[in-house]
Amino acid sequence: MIVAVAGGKGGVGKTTVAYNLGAALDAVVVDADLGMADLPRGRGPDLHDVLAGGAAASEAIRGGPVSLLPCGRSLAGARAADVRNLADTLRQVADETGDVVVDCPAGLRADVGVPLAVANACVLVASPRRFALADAVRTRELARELDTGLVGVALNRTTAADDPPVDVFRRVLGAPISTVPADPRVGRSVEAERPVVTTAPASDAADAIRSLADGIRRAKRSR
Amino acid sequence: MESDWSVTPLDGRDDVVLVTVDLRNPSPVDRRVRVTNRLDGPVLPPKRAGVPEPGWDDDGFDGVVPADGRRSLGYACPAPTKRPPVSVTDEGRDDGDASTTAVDAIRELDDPRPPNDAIPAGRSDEADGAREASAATETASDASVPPAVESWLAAVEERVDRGERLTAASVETATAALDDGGESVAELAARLDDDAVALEAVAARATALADRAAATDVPVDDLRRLA
Repeated sequence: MIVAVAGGKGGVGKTTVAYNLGAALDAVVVDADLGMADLPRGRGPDLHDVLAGGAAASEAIRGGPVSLLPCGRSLAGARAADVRNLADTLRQVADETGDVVVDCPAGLRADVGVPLAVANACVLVASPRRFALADAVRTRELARELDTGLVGVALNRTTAADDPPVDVFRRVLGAPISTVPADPRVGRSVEAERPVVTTAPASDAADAIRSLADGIRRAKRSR
Repeated sequence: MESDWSVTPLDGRDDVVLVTVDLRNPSPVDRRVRVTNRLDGPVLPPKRAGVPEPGWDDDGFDGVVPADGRRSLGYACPAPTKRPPVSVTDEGRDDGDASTTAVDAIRELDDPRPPNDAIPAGRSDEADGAREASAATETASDASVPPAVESWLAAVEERVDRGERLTAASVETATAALDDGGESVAELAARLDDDAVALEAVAARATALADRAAATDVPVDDLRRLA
């Protein structure tokens, strides 16, 4: 099963949600943000090399608390990476390892379209603000055109003060909403490689991630 | 299904021909059609964003001609003219099972690659060939650069990355980059200036040495006879 984590806007926490979802689902997390990678990179070949035909996908997967297929950070690497190979790469990783969570880039370019087209389901990440609906709806429209069902929405970094517009999002997007509170442990989880579902399993943030993961498992069973 | 075709040599080239096929469906239902290339060369189909238009494959075209409608196709083929250049097979009523794919997404959406002008000078590439070449140099350099140099370059790259993320960044990206910890912004700017000078110096010296290394021609056999 391939799950795309998308959301039109940048900086809303797609990578954080993808990483922690990967931990909850015991999946490989692929950093498909070819131009602005976020996940820890380490040494060895990365997704740029794989897409440029310089390495096999299995060589680029890195173990750890969550298995990662990191992406390079150079512009030259991003230019050399051929997005046409992304679909096969994602399918191959899924065939070889099981579940795959794809951290999509911001925007609505082909590097978002390909993961959405290949994915069996998608999760949207948005800021808990009314205006964030616009980008979320655009991304959902794209996912619809590419026949990928929306299984959950993460309203990320909610605070007690800002009363997240959960009902509006649920009505407009027609999918279960999980609110991920602004917990510093979530913010640090990617860089520290400490997913909240294992390091703070009792936290509200871990609950939210688990509810998203449950939605994905339900979608997987009903396939 | 009625069809007409034409074969014309490409302007100024006698080794490439352009084939056009005009398909007409006089029946009252949509019909699926297969057009197969008969020339002795590969089909060069129309492309968008580097991806063939829907329906094209290595041997020809598969598609639907609407009821009482027509459809015109064209492709190029590096091969001598032959008559007829294509065979057209009517595959009957269309059952309408089109689904979108990753290839559709690439064709319809914008190119995600950073524009060529954004690539630091000296590493830009234009065509597919150059793209492969740059990938090759990257792997080659990983393999043959001494560890000390590699780790210095990696450290510099990390600083440059951070600098790039802070250059003309949105508030959120900048906050995230600042949150990363590490040295202060003033320190980072100073280090990056030093890095730029050091990199220039290394690049100049490396180029000069590479030229000298390439220019040498040690007469191995003659020297072996001397020894």
